Order: sequence, then C-alpha cells, then structure tokens
Amino acid sequence: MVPIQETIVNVVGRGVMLGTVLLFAAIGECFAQRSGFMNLTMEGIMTLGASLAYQTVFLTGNMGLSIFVAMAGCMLISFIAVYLNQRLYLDQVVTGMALYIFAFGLGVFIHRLVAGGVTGLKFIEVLKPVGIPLLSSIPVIGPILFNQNILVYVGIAASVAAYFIMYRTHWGLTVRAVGENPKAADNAGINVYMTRYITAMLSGAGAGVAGAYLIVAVLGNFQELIVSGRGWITIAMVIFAQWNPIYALIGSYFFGSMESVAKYVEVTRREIAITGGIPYQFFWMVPYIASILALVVAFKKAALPSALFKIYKREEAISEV
Amino acid sequence: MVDKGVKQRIRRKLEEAEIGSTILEMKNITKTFPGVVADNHVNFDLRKGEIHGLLGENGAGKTVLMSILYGLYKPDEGEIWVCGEKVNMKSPRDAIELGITMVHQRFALVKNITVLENIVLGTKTLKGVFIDEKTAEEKIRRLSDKFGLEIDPHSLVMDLSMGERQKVEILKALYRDSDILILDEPTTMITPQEEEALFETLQKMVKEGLSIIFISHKIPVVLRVTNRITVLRNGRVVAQVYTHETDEKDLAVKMVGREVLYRLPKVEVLRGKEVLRVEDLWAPGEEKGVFSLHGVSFTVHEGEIFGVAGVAGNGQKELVECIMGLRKPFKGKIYINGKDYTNKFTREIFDAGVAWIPDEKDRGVILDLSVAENMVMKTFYKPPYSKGLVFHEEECLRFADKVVREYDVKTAGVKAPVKTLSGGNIQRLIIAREFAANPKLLIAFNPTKGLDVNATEFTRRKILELRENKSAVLLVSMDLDEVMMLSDRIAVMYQGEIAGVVEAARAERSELGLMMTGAKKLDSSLWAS
Repeated sequence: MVPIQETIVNVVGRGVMLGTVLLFAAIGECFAQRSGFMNLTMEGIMTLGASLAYQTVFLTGNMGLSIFVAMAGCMLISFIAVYLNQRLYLDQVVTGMALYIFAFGLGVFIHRLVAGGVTGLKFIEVLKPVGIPLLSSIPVIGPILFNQNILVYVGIAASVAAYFIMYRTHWGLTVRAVGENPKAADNAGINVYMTRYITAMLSGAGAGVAGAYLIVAVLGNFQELIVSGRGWITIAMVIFAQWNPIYALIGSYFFGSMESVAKYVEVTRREIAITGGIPYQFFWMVPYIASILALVVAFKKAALPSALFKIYKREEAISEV
Repeated sequence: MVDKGVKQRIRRKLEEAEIGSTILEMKNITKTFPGVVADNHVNFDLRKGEIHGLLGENGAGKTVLMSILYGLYKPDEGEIWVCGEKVNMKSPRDAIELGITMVHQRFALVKNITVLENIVLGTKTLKGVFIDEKTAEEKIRRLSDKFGLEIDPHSLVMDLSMGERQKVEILKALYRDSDILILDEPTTMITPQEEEALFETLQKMVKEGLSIIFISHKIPVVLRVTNRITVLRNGRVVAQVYTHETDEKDLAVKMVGREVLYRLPKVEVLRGKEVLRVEDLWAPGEEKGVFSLHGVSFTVHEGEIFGVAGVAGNGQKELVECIMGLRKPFKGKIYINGKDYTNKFTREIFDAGVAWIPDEKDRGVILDLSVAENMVMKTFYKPPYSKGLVFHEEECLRFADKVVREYDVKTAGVKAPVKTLSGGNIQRLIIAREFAANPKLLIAFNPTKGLDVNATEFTRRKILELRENKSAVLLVSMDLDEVMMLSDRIAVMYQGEIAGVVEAARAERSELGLMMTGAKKLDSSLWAS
C-alpha cells in the first residue's frame, strides 16, 4: 500500500473506532430529543458509565457484564431526570445540569472508592479488532469499516435498526408525534409521558454503552476527564444529524475522525512539517470547533421538534383554547 | 380503566343499539378550576344516530364537559355511562377504545408528518413490525369516498388548509371506527363553502349510525345541523330542547340570559381623508423564500371601518404586525396620515395616534403586572407619569382609577394583577387604555376572539363609537359575520394577497366565502382607489 493511503486508512479507521463512542450515545439521544426530552446529563452519565464499567472489569474481569452495569447506572440517572421533568414538571435544562454534575461526581467518587483512586493503577486489555472475512479485504473501505472491534459492528447494526424503528414503525411515529405535538399524540390515545420515559431511558442506555466502550475498547483505564466533552458533542451532533440515526452514524464517524487526526498529529510529532509551525494541541480543538460550526449550519435550517424542552400538562394544554 | 373484555362488550352494544336509543349519559358532572366552576352538576345524554348540539357562550363549560367525556379532564364529581355501563375515562385512549373521538377547535395534528401518518398514529395497522401503509391507504381512500372527504394521504399536514385539516381529523375518527364523534366549534376555522361540505358529511355519518355531539356558540349553525340542543350557561344546563321546537330568539335568551342585539345600530358617517395607506407590502413568511404577504395595498379613511376577512393563516397576522412595527416588511410602504411609518419602532407608531387591540390577550397586557401598571403601559415613560428618572405611581393610580370607572372594568382594585381579571375585563382594560388617547387609527386584530356575548357587544360598540368620532379603523378578523356587521368596506385575504375589496352594503356572504378559498378573485382595478 502507498504510505499516504495507509495513513488515511489508519487515521479514518481509528476515527470510526473513536466515533463509535459518540454513536452509541447519539442513537438514544436521537429518540429522546425527537420525543421532546433533551437528555442533558449526557456528559455526566457517560463519565459515570465509564467509571462503572472500569470498576466492574477491575473487580470481575468481565467485559460483557461491565457494559450492562454501565447501562443500568446511566439509565437510573436518566430516569431521575425524566421523572423530575415529566412527573414533577421541573425544567429540563435546570435538572439536566444538576444531574450532569451529580453523575459526573458520582462516577469519579465510585472510582476513588473502588479502584483506590490511583489513576493508571491498572490498565485492562481493550477489545481487539476482528476482521470480517471477505469484506475486510476490500481496499480502503475494508480496513476502515470491517476490521474493527466487535462493538463497532454492533454500533452500525444499532443505528440501522434505529433508523427503521424511527421511520417505519408505530413506535417511531409515536416518538416523532410526541415531540412535535404532544397534545395531538395524547388525543390519538398515546401515553405522552410513557413515551418520553422510554426514550429517556434509551438515551441513558446508549450513554452507558458509550461510557463502557471508552473503557473496554478505547482507553482501558479510567480518568476523571475521560469523556472530555464527548457528551456535549453528542447532544450537538444529534441536532446536526436532524435526529436521524443514519446521519448520526456519519456525524459520529466524522467527529471521531477529527479526533483521530488530532491524535495522529500529536503522535507522529510532525507538527512543523505538516502544519507549518502550528503546535499539535491546536488540532485537539478541531472536534469542538467542528461541532460549533456544525451547529451554526444545522440550526439555521433545523426544524427542532416543536415540543422540545416543553412540559406537557394535560389540563393546561386545552384550557387555553 | 375497565378491562378489554368490558370495552369490547360496550363497543358491541354501541354498534347494535337501535337508532334513537340513549347510548351515552353523563350524570351530575362537576368540574372546578381554581376560582371557577366550569361545570356545575351537568347532565347530558346522547341518542344513537342524532346530532346533539351543545350550545353556550365562551366559558360556559362546553369544551370542559366534552374533555371530561374524552378522558382529558378528570371530573370532581359525576359519572359517565355508555350503553348502560358505568365507565371511568382515564385518558383519551379509554375513550377511543370505547368508540368515542373528539375533534378539537384547534386541531390536534402533527404538522410535519403526512396525513396518513397522522391517521394511523396511535392505531395498530401493522405488517410484521412495520406500519402497513398500503392497507391504511386503502382504508383511508374508502372512507374518503364514502363520506366525501377527499384528501391526499401523502401530503404533509402543514401544507393543508384549515378545512382540509378538519377532514383529516374526521378521517382519524372514522379510521378508528368511532361510534360517537365530538366536534368542538367545527365552523370557526373554515369558509362558508367548507361549512356546507362539512354538514353534508355529518349527515352521511349519521345515516351510517354514528352519533355526533356538535359544540358551538353560533345559534344559526346549531339550528341548522342538530336534532336536539342542550344549552349551557355558566356551567349549568339551562335547557334541553328539540331543534324543531325552538328558534333563534328563544335560544339566544337561553344562552345569554337576555335578549341579544345581533345588529348593532350603525349610523351614517361621511368618509374623511386618508389615514392609513399600505402600498405594495411584501413580508417574509416562516419558511425561507416563502412570502406571507404578496404586494398588499389598501387605504383606510377617517370615519371608516375597513374590514379584512379571511381564513386564519393567510397573512393577516403578518399584515398587522408589519403595520405595528413588530415585523420587518420585505418591501413596500406604510403611511400614516401621509407620513412614512415603514419599519419604525412600535413606540413611534403609537405616538402617531395609533391604537391596537392584539388578538392574543396576553399580548395586550402583562398578566403579572397590576391593572394600573398595564393602564399606563404605553405612556409610563412620559409626563405626568415619569419626570426624569422618577416614576410617579400616584399619577398612574389616579389615571387608572378614572378609566377603570369610565370603562366599567371589574377588578378588585387598580393594584390587583391583571391575571385575576376575567377575559372580558382584560379586553375592557385594553380598550380603555387604547381609546383613552383618542386614537386616529385603530388596528383591531380578532378583537372579540374568545369573549362572551357581553364583552363582544361592548367591544363592537366601542369600535363603532370610534368610527362615529371620525377615527379610522382597520378590523382584521377571522369572524366573517363580525367583519360583515361592522365594516364599511371589506377586503378578503387569501394566501398573502387581497383577493378583492367590496362595499359592505353590497357584500354577499357566499361571494366572500369564494374569495376566502381562492376560488374567486376580483380585478384589482375595480377597487383600487
């Protein structure tokens, strides 16, 4: 292979691997936002998920179990968030922020409690790439998409499934209707609150997998700032992706690749030659700048779900007529 | 609520019930909201195959009563019986499963999905795990043909007119095989022609054995379509009559509690000089590249009420907002008394002698501020209320006291927050404030929307008084009867354009109706002045 092609394959391939973190979180968040509930705890619960996953592997050595523990923890926090909003009618932004801080702190606290709080104490072995026969030998695409760890494939399958659920099933239609016009949904006999409970829990589950993925597939170790803004990027990217799980897949890989480029520049230390004197740290800003730009572009034409952030109260909803 | 088996048994009974037998009873229903008794021990019943009118003023408790039946509100007291079985409606799902569907005044449709998706929403038309669009479409087409509700199942709801949206709502009910249909004020959003089509559809539905509850405050409409009428006043049933045994006057007395003047006396006023001139006004719409106003031009003169009729959403809101400086026109000019007031601040427009009655009441007042503070909302920064940086509250209270008495605003005091006032009194407050400065031009946008008969009459009288005092009035209203009653000239807006201007004295309801749907357009050279 030509060196430049090899570099691209390596960088983008790693981008897909890193982007899968965002993808898992994004799929659930697509449903949550579409139903009118923005799970703003994302950054916090991903940290909590990563912590729980690490402690589980640390204690039991079981990676599969670690994913489920992370999911359970994140779903619990998401449940609290949606309960406060849908049941007690508290503002999504305020409770989301509070629970973000809480979940973040809880994750770090549990880490100190269990693994002794010494970072770098014990690295766990991360998942190895599993090449898919035949497909992985396609030039360029093969090594990028089909020579990855097992969870990358799960992510692709999940986003395709999510796409069909969103646009082809009754439940997907229900979610879209609830986020657009909860009153209409209620009048059609749909349980608005239950729908939002489910989507919020789904986004919690996705964040749990994403957090665990950081441990078992990316870093193998827990640090306080392990999520480093990926939760926020997910929230922004979901809007950029127009709440479409397939676009979310593309967006995730794009942001993953941005991250991968930065890493590549850092590792190869060729900043002077490649970048004309720009220190490699600047490349670390790329995903964040990209997310700001993406939001600016997306927000201009984005038709936000009309009921996003809005609290639906039945007796108020019609008394105004 | 009740388990599936009981629901199915009731459904079967509903279908098998004989025409004319009582299928639904609401007994002793009471519902209170903080400070208001919406329904006070109301009894209501429905017979199979009838259209039962529920007549009453705004705030009489009609919608609340039906929302209780539909499971949206929980009653404080009372029982609902369907086919001799007591039921407990916990949510619309219970009502739908019992064969009851409600069509709200403001339609409950999801705008950015298709007609078909709206109709199958909440039902189970499945093929494996996916939605079975084919079967759904076939059923929709069959129902459309049968009941005269032509609609393309694949168009987006946001592209539909109000009349078409109503068809979708009715199709939704039919698709769910409903036996009882509740229609809340179905004639407020549609044109006279669409009204006719709706009545025909209703007749077809009744022939098929459906029963319909028809909520309305319009007496002639209720007299025309119903078999029986229940009249509600202040949350109580005041009468239940067969339609053929009553007439307009009788119903008006029952509904309002006194005789109502449907025609207000209107004196001859000579048309004076031009006050408002709108020239080739274009305004951007909600979407990019779409205009909500397409070159609107007209003039309003002293001593004249210029009415603008049309179905909601045809650019009326944008027109009014452009004139009031609340929206930036794309191009065109607005002159007030000959001076250019295009794109000026709203405050400057007020200072030019313009008064305005907005259509949302909470746009005309700040609900959490007091009556007095709201009274000086437009003038508080000027003497005598403010001198320099100091605000003189006593001046403001004195002024408020005076106008509150003059306009008979019922309030606990001028320091009471406006949100404690009833809708009619908020309207009086707005009118008091706007009329106090003897405006040269009044912009009234749906001035009687949501008001009861008394407040409506008061508002209309005041507008006519203003005309007698040689002021100019631009009346933009979705209520065609109101426009026809008050105006000297009538313009009809359709899709951001003026479809025609006619002298009120020569205006025909049906002709205006055709213009409202775009079926007729007058040559602009006929009215351009």
